[in-house]
Amino acid sequence: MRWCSRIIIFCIVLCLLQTIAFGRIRIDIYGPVLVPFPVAVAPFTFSGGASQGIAMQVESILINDLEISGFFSVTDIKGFPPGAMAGLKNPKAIDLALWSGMPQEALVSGGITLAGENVDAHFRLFDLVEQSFVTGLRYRAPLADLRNMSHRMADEITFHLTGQVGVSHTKIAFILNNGKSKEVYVIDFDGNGITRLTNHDSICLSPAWSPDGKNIAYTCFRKRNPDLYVYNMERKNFRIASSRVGVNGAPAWSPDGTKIALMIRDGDRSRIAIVNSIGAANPLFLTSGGGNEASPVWSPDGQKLAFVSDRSGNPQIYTIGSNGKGLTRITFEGKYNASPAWSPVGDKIAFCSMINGNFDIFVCNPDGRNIQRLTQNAGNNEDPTWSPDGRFIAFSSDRRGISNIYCMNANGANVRRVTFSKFQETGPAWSPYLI
Amino acid sequence: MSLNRKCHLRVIFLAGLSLLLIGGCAKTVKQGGGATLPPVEEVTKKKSEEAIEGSEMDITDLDASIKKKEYPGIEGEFIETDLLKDCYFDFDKHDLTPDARRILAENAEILKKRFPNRKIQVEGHCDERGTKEYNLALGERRAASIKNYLVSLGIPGRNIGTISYGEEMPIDPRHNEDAWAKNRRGHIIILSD
Amino acid sequence: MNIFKRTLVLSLCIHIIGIICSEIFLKNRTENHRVLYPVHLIDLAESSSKPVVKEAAPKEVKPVPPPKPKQEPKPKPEPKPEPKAVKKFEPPEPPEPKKGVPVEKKKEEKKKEEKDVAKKEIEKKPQAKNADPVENDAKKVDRAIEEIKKTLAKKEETERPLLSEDFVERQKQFYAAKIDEKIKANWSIPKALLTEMGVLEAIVILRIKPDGELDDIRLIKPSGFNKFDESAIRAIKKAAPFPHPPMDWKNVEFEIRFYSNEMV
Repeated sequence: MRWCSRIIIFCIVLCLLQTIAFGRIRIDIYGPVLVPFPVAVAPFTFSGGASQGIAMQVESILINDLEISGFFSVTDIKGFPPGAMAGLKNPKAIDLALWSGMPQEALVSGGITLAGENVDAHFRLFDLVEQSFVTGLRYRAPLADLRNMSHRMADEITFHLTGQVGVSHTKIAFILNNGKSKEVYVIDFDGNGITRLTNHDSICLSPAWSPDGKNIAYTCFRKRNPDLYVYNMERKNFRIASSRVGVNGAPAWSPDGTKIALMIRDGDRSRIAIVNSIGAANPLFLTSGGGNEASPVWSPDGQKLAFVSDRSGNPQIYTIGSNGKGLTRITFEGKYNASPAWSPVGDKIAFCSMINGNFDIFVCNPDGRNIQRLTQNAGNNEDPTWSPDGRFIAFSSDRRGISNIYCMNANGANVRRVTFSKFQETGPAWSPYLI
Repeated sequence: MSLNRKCHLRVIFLAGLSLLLIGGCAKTVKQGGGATLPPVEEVTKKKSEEAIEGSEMDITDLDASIKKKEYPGIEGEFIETDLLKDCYFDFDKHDLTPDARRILAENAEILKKRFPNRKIQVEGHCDERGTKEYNLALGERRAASIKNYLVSLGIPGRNIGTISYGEEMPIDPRHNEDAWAKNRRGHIIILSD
Repeated sequence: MNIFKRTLVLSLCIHIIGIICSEIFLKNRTENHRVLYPVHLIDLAESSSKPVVKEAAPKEVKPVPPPKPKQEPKPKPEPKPEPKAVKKFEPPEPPEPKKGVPVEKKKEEKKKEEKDVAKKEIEKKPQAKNADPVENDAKKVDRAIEEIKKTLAKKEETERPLLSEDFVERQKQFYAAKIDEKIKANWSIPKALLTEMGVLEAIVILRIKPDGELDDIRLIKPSGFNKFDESAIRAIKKAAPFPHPPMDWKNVEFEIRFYSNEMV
C-alpha cells in the first residue's frame, strides 16, 4: 500500500508540474539590433592643480578610444538626463535612478589630480541597467604618460563591458621617410603620440616587434649593408644583431621570442633562415630548392611560417613547418602575392596581391582557401599587420597620393587613417599587448 | 737626324704636357678637397698612373667622369664614374636583357682598362612597385646576375661585391612607367680602398 | 485486495503512459506552432507594398471587421494549447464556431497556400527586415493592438460567455505580443561582439508581477557566450516594467528564446 501511495503522490506531482508547464508561454525573439553599446562619459573633474585642459584631454582620448574600438557609441554631457551632472563630482551622490529609461547602458565618470610630478587619474564605471557600480580604478604616472593612462582606462572599461581585451594602449611601428632618411617611428593605436625611435639618418626598413613588446628589430643600411638591428624600447638604444654580407632583412620574431626568422643571402639569392635572437650565428635555412624568398612570418603557435617565394616564376605565398618540413603553396591567383601576416588567432593569413597594377589586401585561411578581398579602388594597399586581438588590420596605402598608415576592421570595414604627416609612411607593424 | 730630333721634341713635349697636367690636377684637387694633404697626393698619383696606362683615352674626359661620392646615411666614400653605365631590368625580373649584356660588356672593358684590381660593388635596385621586402630580395638577385656576368667576362669575382637597395634609392622619384624603367637598374661603384 | 491493487497499478501505468504521450504530443504541438508563425507574417507581407513584415499588420486587421485577435504581427503561441488551438489559431473570419468548423478547415488550407507563396516572396527580399526601424514598428504594432482591442471589446459584449476559454487564450497572445515587442525593442548588442559567433540561442524564463514589474529572470539555457546572454537579460530589464497582466493570471511564465540571427 505504501508503494501505491507513493506512486499516487508521484502522479499528483507530475500532474501539478504539467499544469504549471501549461502556464508557460513561449516567445521567440530573433535578431538583436546590432548597434554599439551606448555609454555615457561624464566630463572629467580636475583638482589639485590639474587644469581643465588635462582633464579634457584624458576624457577625449578615452572617448575616442571607446568609439574607434567599434564596441561603443559615446554620449557626452549633451545627452545626459537633467540633473545627472549634479551628482557626478561626488561619486557618493551619483544618482543612477536618473538614468532609468535612458538609452545609455553604462556611465563613466572620472577625474584628474596633480600629485607633485605625477598625475592621478581615476575613473568609475556604472551599469545603468543594473543600476550598479561595476569598477573603479586609479592610475598614477608622470604627466608624460597621460595618454597611456587614458588608453589603459579605455581598455579596462572595454573589458568590463564586452569581455574583450582592448587594444587601445597598443602601438604601431612604421617607417617614416622624411625625404632625407627613413627612420623607425611608433604611434599609438588611435593615431596620436607619434615618436621617433631611430636616429641613424639612414635607410631603415621592416620594423618587427618582439613578442614582449620591448624590442623592435629592423633592417638598416648605415654600414653599406642591409644589417639587422634591434632597438630596445626601455634602454632606448640599439644593437646590431646580424651583419652577414648581403641582406639581413624582413625580421620576424618567433612567438617565444628566442628566434628570429630572417631573409639572408645564400649564394645568389635571398632565403629564409632562422637565427637566434641574441646572436645570429649558424642560420638554419628552412627550404630547399630555388627561388628568391622574402617576408617570413610565424604562425602564433610557432609551428609554421608563411613567406614569399618566387620559385614558381613570380612571388607567391607559401607555408612551411618551422622544422623545414611541409612546404605548401597557398596562393595561386594573380602574379604577385606578398607580405603575409598571420592573424593572432591563427585562423587567417592576410596578404597583399597585385591586381591591374595596384596592390590590395586580402585574407585567406592558412591553407589558402576562402580568399576575401578587403580593399578596393583606393590606390595601393600594402603591408597588412594584425592588431593583437585580431579585430583590426593596419596597412599602408597611397590612396591620398602619398603612402600613409591606415587601419580597418578585419573584414575591411571602417577604414580609419592612423598617421597624418606629410611624409611617406610605410611598413606598419602592430605591437603585441604592451605591459 | 731629323727623325731623332723629332723624337726628342716629342719626348720633351709629352714630358712638359704631363708636368702641366700634374700641376693642374694638384691645384684643382687642392681647391676642391680642402687643406688635408695626404688625399691630394694620393689622388694625383692615381690619376697620373691612370693617365699613363690609359694613354689611348681622352684624358680630360676621364677627369670629369671620376667623382668621389657618399650616399647620405651610409658610411664610406666611393668613386663613381659616368663611364660605367647602368643596366636595366624588366619588372619583377633579374635576368639580363641583351641590352643589359651589351652595357655590362662595355663596363667590363672599362673596369679592366681603367680600374684593374679595384674593388667594386654592384648595386641591385628595384622600382617602387611590389613590396619593399620582396624588392630587397629581388635586388640581391639582380646584383648577383650582374656579378656573375662580369665574372664571365673576366673580372675577378673576389673584386666584386654586391648589395641590394631594394626600392629604397630610386633615381627618378616619379610614379610612372618611365621612372620605374629607370629605377629597375644595376649600378656599379668603385669602392675606396 | 489483489485485484484492486492490480487495477490500481494498471491504471497508474496507463496514466503515466498517457501523461508521457500527451507530453510528447503536446510538444509536437508547440513545434507545430513554431512552424505556423511565419504564416501570419507572410500574410502581412503580401498585402503590403513594403516587404517589412510587421508594418502590414494593421492592414490585415482592417479588412476583416470583427476578427479574432490572432492577427498579431507576431503572436506567440501558447506552448500547450488544447487540441482546438490549432484551428483557433488560424481563423481569419469572424468565426461562428458552431457552424464554422468545416469552413475553417478549408480556409486554413487556403491560408497555407498563401503562406507558401508569401514565403517565397519573403525569401526574395531577405534583407528587408534588417532595415526596419524599431520605433516605427512599435508604433504600428501598437496601432494593430488597438484595433484588435476594439474589435475584441465588441466581441466581449456579444461572445464572451460562449468563448471564455478561447478568450483567455487570446488575451495571453496579446499580452505575449506586447512583452515580445517591448523586449525586442530594447534588445541590442554591438555587432563587433557577434562577428564569427554563428547562431546563438539563449533561453530565459521571465515572471511578471501583477503590477507589471519584474518578478524573476532565470537563464535556463545559456548560449555559450556570456555577453550574448547578458544582452538578453539586459533587454528584459530595460523593457521592464511591463503592462499589467490580465487579472486572472496565475503561474504564468514566459519562456523567451533569444536568437542572434534574423528569423528565416
